[in-house]
Amino acid sequence: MTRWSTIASAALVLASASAMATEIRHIQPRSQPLIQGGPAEVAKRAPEKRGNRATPSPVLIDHVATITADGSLETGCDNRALRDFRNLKADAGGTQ
Amino acid sequence: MTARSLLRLCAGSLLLAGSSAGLSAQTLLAPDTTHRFTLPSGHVTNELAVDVPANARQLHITAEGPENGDIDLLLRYGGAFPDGTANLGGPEWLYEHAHYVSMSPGSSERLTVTRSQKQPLRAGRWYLSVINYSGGAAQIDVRASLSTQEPGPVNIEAVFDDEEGCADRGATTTPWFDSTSATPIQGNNGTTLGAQRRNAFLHAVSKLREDLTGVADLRIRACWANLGGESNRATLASASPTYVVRDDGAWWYDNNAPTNTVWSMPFLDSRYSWYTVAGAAQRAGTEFCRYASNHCGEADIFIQFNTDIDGATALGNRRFHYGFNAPEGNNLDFVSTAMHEIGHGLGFVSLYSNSDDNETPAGTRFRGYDDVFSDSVVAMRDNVPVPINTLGPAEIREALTSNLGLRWADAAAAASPLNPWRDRAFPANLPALYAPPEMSAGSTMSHISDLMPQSLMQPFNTGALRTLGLAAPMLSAVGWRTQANTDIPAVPLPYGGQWFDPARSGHGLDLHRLAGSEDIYVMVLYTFDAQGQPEWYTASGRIIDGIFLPGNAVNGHSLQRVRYTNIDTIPMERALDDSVPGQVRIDFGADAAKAAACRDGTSRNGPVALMTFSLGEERNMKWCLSQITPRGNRPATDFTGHRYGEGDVGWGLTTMGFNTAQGDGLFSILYFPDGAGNPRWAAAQVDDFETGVPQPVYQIQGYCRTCPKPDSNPATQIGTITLDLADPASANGGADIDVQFNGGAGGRFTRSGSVLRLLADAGDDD
Repeated sequence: MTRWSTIASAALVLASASAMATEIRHIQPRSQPLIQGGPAEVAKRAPEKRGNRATPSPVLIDHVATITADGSLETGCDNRALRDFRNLKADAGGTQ
Repeated sequence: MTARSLLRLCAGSLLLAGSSAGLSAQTLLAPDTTHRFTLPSGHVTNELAVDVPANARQLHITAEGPENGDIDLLLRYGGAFPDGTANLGGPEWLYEHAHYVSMSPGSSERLTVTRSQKQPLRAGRWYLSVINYSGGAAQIDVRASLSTQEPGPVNIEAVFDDEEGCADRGATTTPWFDSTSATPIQGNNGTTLGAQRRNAFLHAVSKLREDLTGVADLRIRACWANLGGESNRATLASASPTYVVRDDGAWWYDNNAPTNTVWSMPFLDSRYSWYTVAGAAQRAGTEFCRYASNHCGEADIFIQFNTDIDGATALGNRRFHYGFNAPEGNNLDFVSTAMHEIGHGLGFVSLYSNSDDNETPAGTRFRGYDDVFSDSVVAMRDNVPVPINTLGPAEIREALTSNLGLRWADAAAAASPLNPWRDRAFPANLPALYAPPEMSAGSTMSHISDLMPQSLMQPFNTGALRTLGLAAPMLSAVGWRTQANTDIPAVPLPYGGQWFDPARSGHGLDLHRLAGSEDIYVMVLYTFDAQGQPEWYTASGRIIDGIFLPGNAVNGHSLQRVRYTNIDTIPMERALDDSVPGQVRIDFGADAAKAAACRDGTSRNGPVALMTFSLGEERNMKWCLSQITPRGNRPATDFTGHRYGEGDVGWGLTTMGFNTAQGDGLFSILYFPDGAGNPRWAAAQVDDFETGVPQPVYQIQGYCRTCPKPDSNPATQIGTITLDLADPASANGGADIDVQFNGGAGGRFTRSGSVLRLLADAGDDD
């Protein structure tokens, strides 16, 4: 196959796609092998799709309560992943 | 020339490819009727479809397979999935054509589409693809149902007994089942401490549901942990989304380097931006495990409460208050604490660093990508709102400490009755985010400003609130949108011509529309090998939903290297070179400008496109392309196009017209073999093209794709080319060529009196 034939293969996609939408029928749907080489090849490749497509979140937000000098309660948030909670005690105001 | 007539021009091998390209039809699903069929192992059917009437507000589709099987369900609007194994080559192409995917590792798949999603529910035919990955044949029940009702409150499952999941985070489930006697309080009828804790948490969830509409079920892993504390300060609870996801606009899995795997999540409104998995689920119309192929026991949100609060040390004698109303006395309101923390897990969180930690300086994007929360934020600069995602880290850091200079720009939230500033003049009407002069790690930007009237998602004690308030319309922008989407994505087909990444100047891309076709493009990547010698690769395929999706050839590659096996014949004999596996996708959508490669500080003119490609061990390179000749710099007589020799396929010539002070300039690239059959290229350029006048042809000494860009790329003349291009409309032309490759293999390539035929042109002007 040459690069020109690759181009023509793409042209076939267009041709087949346009033909697909022309008929409606209520019968057992026709199937086709997913990958050339058949089910054995699919079995080899199937795990590929199972990869978790997500990334662990970089944030873990703490809800912190502080009792201020007058005895009132203040709450706020920290990000544990970015900063150690214990270091926050020195923060000005203590109302992090 | 039409696509069909092109086939007649090409080699016989094409006919073999065509013979297996099936022509199938649709089996139309009747609503609320189960359609049962058997699918062999490793097979797919693209024949199912459902017609949606104009008054439908929800479309639900389920596919149920055998208990231990593995099936996937894909859905798209407006056109059937590609068919024909010769073009398919692998499953990736199906997933790339899908608008919605349910691809859990099991066999219970489901999708819901509403009017608020990226591809909104609308009248017309919706096409299914069902794939059987099971080891054996699968009996599959597919059912489609339609509803004229808008979606209701989202289902949220609180999981109190996931001991293993809690233990993974150093937490436990035990306090949920504490048998210590307790007196019912304020509607919480639990008679043990554990039951009251569970009841209070479920009450928090039920109050949140009153403000949240959604179609994909959520799961919260609820835990407890000894988070310590002192008499005057302690952590009450911690929460996070479990995962974040993004759409990279392409789909391939790299077995050799899984971390380099590129995913497509076409249901997300924004590409190249992180979403929390809970928000993304509402865009996907299905649960996290189904759209992200995770196992279905995984949670969307993790939350842990501090067991020490109910002990003797943390915060003295104050305890969690488990009543459903405000606490009496000094105790801590458990319900609003839970609601606030769950709110972060729902997506009310920026992933920009808001700490001056050395490893992640403030303003740094998570892994170089924006997040959809931050995408809605503007920085007020001289009272002008500037999208914060257009700023660099130093400017973002400045905005993070600007007090009232960080605003939420989403129009729906600004206009919401829940925005107390809605009647102010723009931009003063935009809700403010928390941006204290001294940056507050964990709080800055991820909360509503404490300078606004009281609401749940402010950074400080907000009292015993039982509603999301202003946060509800703000969550709309991070996946929880309920308004009908009338902005249906439609990306115009790109200009067919030369594209390049100014950051990789010297390399380039010849991308032209197949003459006579609607959306099939032919691409040649002209680049340099490891020694800086010119080489080229090619791909061809449709541009669908704004993404160039070349099909895989029989070798499984979409970006092909050709090797000439006999250069002495006409046409020359060629074969695909399997030694350099290649994949390429190009995103022409507006979001491409948000990709990190397009924000590298390099100046680019006009629209940009993001090319993601792999060649051999060079995996997932991302180049930000711009047009070499944008609109306004193209001559009236534009010879831009890609041509080949009639009856002499195997070499090619691309031409590009441009305006110059002297007249109509013409840049040409000749694709030809060297003496060893390697694919090479050389360039010619004149400022005032005259047909029939010989031009010098230059070979460029370049640099490899992953090497630093040199100051210049020296050019050496290696021959001449004479082009006869007088009638671009008919595309007829001629060429005389005589070049001598300047390199190890050498090799002279000559043609005399060649008739040029147009293979691909610029297409419609952009």
